[in-house]
Amino acid sequence: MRTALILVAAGLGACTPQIEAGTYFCGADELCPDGFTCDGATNTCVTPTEVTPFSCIEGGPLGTPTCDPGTFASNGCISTADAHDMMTITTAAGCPMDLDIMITYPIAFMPLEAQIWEGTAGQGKTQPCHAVHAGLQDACIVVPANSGTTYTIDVAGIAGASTCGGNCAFNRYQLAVQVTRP
Amino acid sequence: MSRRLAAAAIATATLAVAPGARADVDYFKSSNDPTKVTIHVPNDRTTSERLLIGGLLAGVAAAGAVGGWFNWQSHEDAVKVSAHTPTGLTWTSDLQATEADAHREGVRAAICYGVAGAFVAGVVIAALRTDPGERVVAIDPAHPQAMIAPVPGGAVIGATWGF
Repeated sequence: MRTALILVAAGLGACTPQIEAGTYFCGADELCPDGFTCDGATNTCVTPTEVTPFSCIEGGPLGTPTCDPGTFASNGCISTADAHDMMTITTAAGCPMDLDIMITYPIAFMPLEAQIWEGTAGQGKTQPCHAVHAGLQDACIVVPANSGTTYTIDVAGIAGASTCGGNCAFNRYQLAVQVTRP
Repeated sequence: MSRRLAAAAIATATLAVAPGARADVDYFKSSNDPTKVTIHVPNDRTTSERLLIGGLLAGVAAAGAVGGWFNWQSHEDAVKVSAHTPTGLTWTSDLQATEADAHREGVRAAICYGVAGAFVAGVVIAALRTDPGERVVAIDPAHPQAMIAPVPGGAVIGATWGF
């Protein structure tokens, strides 16, 4: 009888969601459960006393492709709403390739896109390509690349996208370029 | 908090309504007339009084049931979003709505329990204020019938009266 009463009391009492810090990734616009704040370093929802400011590490340059398929990766930071982060990749001479470019960024902060340039000619922009996973959004584009040509990957915030009212006008990203034969 | 108050009120009501020995009655007091037999018979409540108490009890049941339903809904929604280890999930507006529902239904449950508690208090007050008391009935000892019942090792001797 006492056990039954305890079970009933526990069932009736468990009406308030019990959420621990760090158990959810922040949603778009730093969305978090009530009482939680988006952590800048991990883009997880934490208590206000645990929150740390946004941090980002700029990666190195992409490598140089050969005529063989390969994957090149780096990462970068966008620190303001109008900032641009440029990386270049030069295809090998004598072998036209496809550049499968994907950037991955936390949806908690300013949404990003990458525009691909061949000289001054735009080759297109990335578009969201996969479902959000672990708080991250993928944006992809495939660009047919001429041989011996340098392409610039210009990463910036999407024009007009939300920046949490100016409070999250920054983001970090990972860049992956897969070079394949057409 | 309201649940504790409701539980306390229910316990109080149970104690108040449950029949029991009355401390102000001396059941063994000797009568002035040792040949006179009297008994105390509780009076009945009127139909309207019974309807009043029954209606209040129905209110307790209804408010408690609705409160329990909201409580259950709140519990279910709370379970959906509760997390103690990393979920790998992204917090979305849908989860936000579920969390808000859990809070809202919890408040509704608390309100219903409060109403149920008020009904319980009403039952207690009505039970006390409509207490019909009791009447004393004298038993005519003129025609008692003797009774002898054999038992192992002897017999029980007594008398019965009609009233």
